[in-house]
Amino acid sequence: MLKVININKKYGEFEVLKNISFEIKKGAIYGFLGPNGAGKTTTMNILSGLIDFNDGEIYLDGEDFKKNKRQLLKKLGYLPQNPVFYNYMNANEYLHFIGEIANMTEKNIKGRTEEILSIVKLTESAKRKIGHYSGGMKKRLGIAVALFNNPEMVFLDEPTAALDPEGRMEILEFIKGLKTVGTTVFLSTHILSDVERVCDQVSIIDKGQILISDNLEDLKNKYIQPIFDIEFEKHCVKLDEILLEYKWVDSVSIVENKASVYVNNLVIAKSELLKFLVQRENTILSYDIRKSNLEDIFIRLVNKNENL
Amino acid sequence: MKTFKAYFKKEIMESKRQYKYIILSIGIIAFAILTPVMLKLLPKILEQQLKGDLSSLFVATPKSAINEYIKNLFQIGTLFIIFTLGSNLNEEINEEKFVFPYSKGAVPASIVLAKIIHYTIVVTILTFIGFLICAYYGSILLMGEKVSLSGILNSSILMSVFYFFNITLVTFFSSFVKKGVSAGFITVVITFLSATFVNFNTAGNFMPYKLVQGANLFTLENYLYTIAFSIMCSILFIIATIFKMNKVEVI
Repeated sequence: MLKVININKKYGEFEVLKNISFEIKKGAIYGFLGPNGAGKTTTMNILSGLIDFNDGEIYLDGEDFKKNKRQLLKKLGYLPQNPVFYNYMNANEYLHFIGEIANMTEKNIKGRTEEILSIVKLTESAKRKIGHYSGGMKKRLGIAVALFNNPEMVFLDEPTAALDPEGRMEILEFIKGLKTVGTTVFLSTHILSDVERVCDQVSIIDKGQILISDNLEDLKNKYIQPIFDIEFEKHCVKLDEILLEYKWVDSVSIVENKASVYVNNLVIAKSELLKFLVQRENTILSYDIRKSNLEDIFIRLVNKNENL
Repeated sequence: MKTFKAYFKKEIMESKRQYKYIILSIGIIAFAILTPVMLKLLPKILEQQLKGDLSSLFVATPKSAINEYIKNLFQIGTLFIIFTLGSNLNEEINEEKFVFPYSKGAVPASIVLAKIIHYTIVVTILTFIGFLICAYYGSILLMGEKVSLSGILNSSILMSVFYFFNITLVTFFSSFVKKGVSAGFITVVITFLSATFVNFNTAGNFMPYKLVQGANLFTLENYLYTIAFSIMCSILFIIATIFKMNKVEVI
């Protein structure tokens, strides 16, 4: 659906984006992670046609974005981090204004306004001036605007920031729901748990460079930690002393009938540890290789990039 | 065309709800009523204050009322128009109000045209109404030389072209000057400077202020070059504004 090849963006001498490339499949929820100032919003602003880029290519459904920008923008929706409206309008009037710009018919605008306001739960406030809305209501109206013309792909910049927990859950459920209707979602956030909850694919950007871009599950498997968590039926007695005799074991931590074995060679440990444990009389109840969560992966990658 | 229609309607709604129509009406029409009244009352007020016959110092005829109105339009009406429209584009750029419309494919050229055409129509209508009101009150309140309807219409046309020039100029500056007041101030300086250059032999004929002089004479004769030049300059300002709005980063 969207292919970004070596995009470069400079402000004077400062290079905000350094040849970033990634691809998003149709219908995917794509998480775009990065610390503050990494280049997330700049990337989104470029992809939603609001700012230009210096080098590189963008293709949307195989069409060159630079050459067919105005036409392709009709397929896209964008929710900026801080959505701004004409405060003297009410939600109905603003959506009508957006519908006219998006070349929708009068009938479509009316029907879609009712539908989208009900989805974002603003039907009752539809006739109130936007200037009197709370931050959360403005965010929801922003989502309504972004999705108003049924775009094929929607860019959401920090959609859950500044929302209360209930509002955040509602928005995340709504984003999940977009997948079922085939809308591709590009979600930029620094709330990692949100990404884990809804995204299929993830990219991590730092200092204008994509550090990694992969499927979320593959990423977790790739960044497996060299720790084995084992639960026994009985208390572990002297297990640590015996295990530490192996060169591939770094340390062992034991709490009652649970042991965590930290290894320095995952390949050997995978084949040898279980063989050793089954020979012992203590029955194994569970045996796991600890998986990294997204936060671990994020911190490891960003810290590694910091040290370069 | 869709963007133009949407923005034209938006400008009407904005002008109503942010009282821009009222502000412009005060700047243009209020003086149409006040000028003949003041010309009628001023000699009497001064007469009481200074205790003497001052009637010879004041030429109070329907024609002089319109001349006085044109003077007020240039000196004060222009300020109302320029400072009301000084934030025509920059406010929306700075406050990122163009983000949603641009992301939905809004065409910058249509936005610029919608804004300029809307305010040109409003100011032109108000100017014509102002002249007619001034002529009406002048003929009721004052005695002496009158101006024909065609003369009044000529003056209205010349002042409307002058305001069109100012509207395009202030919109042009508001596309790249951050503050509305600054865009307005630059436009005012240029407008009032053009009044000082008007007496230059050749260049004077091309100064927009020449239109105000023509309005005072109630004729279009000898002013067609100035009209054509002012409209040409205005078109160039519009093109430059569109060019700038195509390049501007709205976020």
